[in-house]
Amino acid sequence: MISKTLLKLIDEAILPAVVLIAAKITGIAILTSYLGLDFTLNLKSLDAVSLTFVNTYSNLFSYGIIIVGLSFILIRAYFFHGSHVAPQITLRLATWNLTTVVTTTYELFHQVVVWLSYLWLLTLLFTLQNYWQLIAPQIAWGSLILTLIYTGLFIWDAEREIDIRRM
Amino acid sequence: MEKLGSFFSNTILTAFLLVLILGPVGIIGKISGTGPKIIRGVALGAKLNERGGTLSGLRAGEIKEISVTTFWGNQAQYKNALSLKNETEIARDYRIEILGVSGTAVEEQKIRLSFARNGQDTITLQPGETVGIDLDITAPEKDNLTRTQTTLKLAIWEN
Repeated sequence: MISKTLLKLIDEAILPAVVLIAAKITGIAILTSYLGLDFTLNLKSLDAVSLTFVNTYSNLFSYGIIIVGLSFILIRAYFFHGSHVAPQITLRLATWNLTTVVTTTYELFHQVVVWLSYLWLLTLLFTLQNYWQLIAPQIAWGSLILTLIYTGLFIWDAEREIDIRRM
Repeated sequence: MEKLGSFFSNTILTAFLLVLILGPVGIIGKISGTGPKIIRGVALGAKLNERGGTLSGLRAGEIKEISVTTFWGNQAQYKNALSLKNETEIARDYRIEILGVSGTAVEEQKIRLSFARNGQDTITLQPGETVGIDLDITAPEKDNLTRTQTTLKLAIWEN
């Protein structure tokens, strides 16, 4: 029997995969245009200053897009999670015909796992690139701190969910 | 048989999921580049022994000493380390020449001076025209050296 969890994870992984690559390419296009350079996907062909600049900010843009996506999911997890959504919020959403915003644990946790995985992989990549002096060190350190914070927020929500289920 | 089929399908799905998650990050890594990069085109300051500062005018027939930093294991490019202006009233041909180099392991360094506009060591300037001079220093990687000071004695000749 095919695992529903795997299918769900694959389903949730498609959007961030596309968004991540699109963000990186868009970032490179904007930055190379800003520097007056020809668009290239081989950033190592650029001189060191341009390489670091384009790499740093295009990576920041990609990371930022994932952070925005994950923030949206975590906001849903904290305020619109079906297992503990406040009655007043449910009433307000029903008035506005937006009850689809409220979502289930099954949906949320699969989404968070996928987006958080991307976040950790990007952080690892930035750490390596910082070691190779391909990006500014502040990006590597900043991404690590931010990823840890978001992981903490997820763990906190997961613990709350476990407590609710125990009751 | 059903269990075997289930095992294989789930293994394929897992592999697909891993590709889906690792793939985009790998693509970003490939675009950004991996591995250390030789520093090229980094504009650094050149200290001039006589006047100081990063830009100093040269005159034809003038011999000048400049001190720069050699980065071992890298190619350092000093853009517009010096400048040359044609202060005469007619067009003139100029040539830049390195008369001497002193410092650490200078025989292992590749040093090149060129005019910024054409990348050559000769140029024709119109009256009142100014051109920058670029300096490239490439030094191989050495275990015991990261950066050293190198002094160049150079001259501009009018042809």
